[in-house]
Amino acid sequence: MQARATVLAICLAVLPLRRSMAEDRVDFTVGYYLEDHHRVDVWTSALLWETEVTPHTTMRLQGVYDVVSGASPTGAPPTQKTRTVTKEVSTSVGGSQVVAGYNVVSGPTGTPPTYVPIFATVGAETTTTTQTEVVPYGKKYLPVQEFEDERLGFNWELEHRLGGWILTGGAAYSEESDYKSVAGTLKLGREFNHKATLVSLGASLGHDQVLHTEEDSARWEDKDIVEGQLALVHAINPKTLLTLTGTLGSAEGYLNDQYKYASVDDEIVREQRPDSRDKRIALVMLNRAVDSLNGSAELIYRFYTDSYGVDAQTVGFTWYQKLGKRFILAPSLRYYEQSAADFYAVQFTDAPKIYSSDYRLSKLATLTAGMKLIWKAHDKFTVSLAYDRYSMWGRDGQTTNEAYPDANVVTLGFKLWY
Amino acid sequence: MVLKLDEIAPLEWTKDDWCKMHFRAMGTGCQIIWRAPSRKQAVAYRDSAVTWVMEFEAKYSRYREDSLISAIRRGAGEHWVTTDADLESMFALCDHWHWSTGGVFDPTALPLEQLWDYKAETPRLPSEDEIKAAQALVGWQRVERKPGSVYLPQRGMAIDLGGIGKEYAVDRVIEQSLPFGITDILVDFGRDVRGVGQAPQGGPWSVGLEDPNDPGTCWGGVKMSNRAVTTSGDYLRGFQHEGRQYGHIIDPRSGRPVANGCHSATVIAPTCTEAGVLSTAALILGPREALQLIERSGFSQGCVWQGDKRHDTSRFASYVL
Repeated sequence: MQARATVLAICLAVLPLRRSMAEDRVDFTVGYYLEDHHRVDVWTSALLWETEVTPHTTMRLQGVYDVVSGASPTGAPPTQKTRTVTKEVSTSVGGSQVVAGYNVVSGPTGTPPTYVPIFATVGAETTTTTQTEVVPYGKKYLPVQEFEDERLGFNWELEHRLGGWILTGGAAYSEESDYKSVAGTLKLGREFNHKATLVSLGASLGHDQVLHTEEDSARWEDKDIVEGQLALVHAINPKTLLTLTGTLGSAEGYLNDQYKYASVDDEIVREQRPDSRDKRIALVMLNRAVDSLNGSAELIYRFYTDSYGVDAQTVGFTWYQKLGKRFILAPSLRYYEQSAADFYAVQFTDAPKIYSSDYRLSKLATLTAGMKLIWKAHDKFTVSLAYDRYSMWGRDGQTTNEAYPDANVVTLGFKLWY
Repeated sequence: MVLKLDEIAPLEWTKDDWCKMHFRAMGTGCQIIWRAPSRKQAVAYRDSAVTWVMEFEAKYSRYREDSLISAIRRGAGEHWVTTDADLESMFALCDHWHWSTGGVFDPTALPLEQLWDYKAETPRLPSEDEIKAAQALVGWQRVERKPGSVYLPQRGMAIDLGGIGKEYAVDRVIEQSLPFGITDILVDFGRDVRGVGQAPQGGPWSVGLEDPNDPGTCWGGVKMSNRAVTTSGDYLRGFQHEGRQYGHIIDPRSGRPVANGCHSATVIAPTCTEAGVLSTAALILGPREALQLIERSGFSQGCVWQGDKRHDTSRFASYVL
């Protein structure tokens, strides 16, 4: 199963915008994602080791291991099950009694069965004809593709500080049975204003390979990705931190999901997406400490647009509430909505060149409500437990709601400084 | 012991993805009809169900000397016997139904059934003293139990799960089908029947009900889904003495065969265990008390035949085809 996020995304995500104090630490996180009706479940685990190589150089190593299994809608429209039924149609003239056919007969417990004659008519002239017909049965079902896969990924980074300059380089690799990804990143940051302001510029190059299978053959297809990011982190005052990032990205090559299908002129065929996708992302994040409530707030707004025609917005709010000296409780709420890709539809006619019925490209929205508890068990050891309820629904009035997942996500994390 | 399941219970594919199997267990013919998600699943379920039934019979049949039930009988008046989870479950059901039927359902009634042995070459009427002596060995409330073990306080006492075991097995075999993705299934163990989902012809399962006044034909049938139906009757088993018919079903209260003119009782209930206990109790109690008992159970309906007259509970007609 293709990775839902490329290694490149991992690279950018883990590159810290702001260097914290020099410290050696180990983080371990394990998470479980389970969609309702057990459609998809994902076990994910990540181990991060950060160490100070020299007084000015820090190295980070991260390993990720995911196990994913379940079934995902293929994009083909809901299908009605049918079966062929053979019926015996009897026409009776006269007679006094008709004994229906039974599946079984109940009688005194444990006695040998004495089955009655089936379709017997007493004292009548009967004409019996056999008819066959195809009849629908059961509810319509959404065709799904079952899958089971493992993903192993590694990420390596080296960060070097020289005066007010911070140079970060990294490399990453991940592999699944049908997806391989390799990426490299380089990022240069500059601190100003007594370290109250950090400006950084980063770039990433990635090369993915996707295993495309046909009925009797398979071949690796290429995908190339390039991304650039400009970021500003500024402490407006001792209690307020503002983060602004702008990202430009482009992917070219094989961008289809080979497990997705579409109905084109009443035939079920594999989807066909454009072979390039450009994207632009803007993010604003504001963190504000509220001393009177002994907590802090985090507000996020993200805007995304791409050449597929997908425009998306995310609004998120998290409140971090200190409880005594050792606990932090963090409720959060995040809303996301997107428009549909230009080439998305439930069904297609007139043989278009580009088409997809992947529900992830439809006009949709998601809401994530979560709660996280952080326990500072020791000055150098914290444990966190988080639960998120994730709901997705369609907004186009055409895509069946059965396609959109709801899920529960539980994450357990440990951090150890030494 | 390795069971040759392909020989014991060969699978027969009927139409589309329906299959059925017949096999012998618990002294009777058993059949299961179901729609399997795949042939592999069908074989897996067959293996699981038949193996479980065979093990169940080996452990709880009173006809097998190496069974747990025989061990309990041999320990009567002497020592406690260790039970297992299934037996504890059945004992819990016995507690409930012994109480609910006012003692008419009694799993310790074996001494009375053996006294009225209708299978003997020349069946005889026991004397009044013999009946009283056998009754002295009967009484579920006298069975001593503690978690994980049971003790019959008097030599000669015995437990016979014949009135509940087969029905319990039907329920368990139905439960076992769920993990195999089976949603349409009918289990028929010796004409104790429970159906879930739809029948091969579509719609609910149809079960014929044998006519006690004309055995071998049906007086009618019922349609049901997610229900069990059982029939108790004494018109096929019993003996005649001096021109009078004695059935094989014993009323533990009198120590004598049922003699209220009822020959058949049918109950439809959510579980086969419930239907089986209620239909036997209904036959013993006679129409008036039987209908009250069935109605009182909450989710069951039924009918009792007395001579050629049928007495129905309030909503039994809604099941009749």
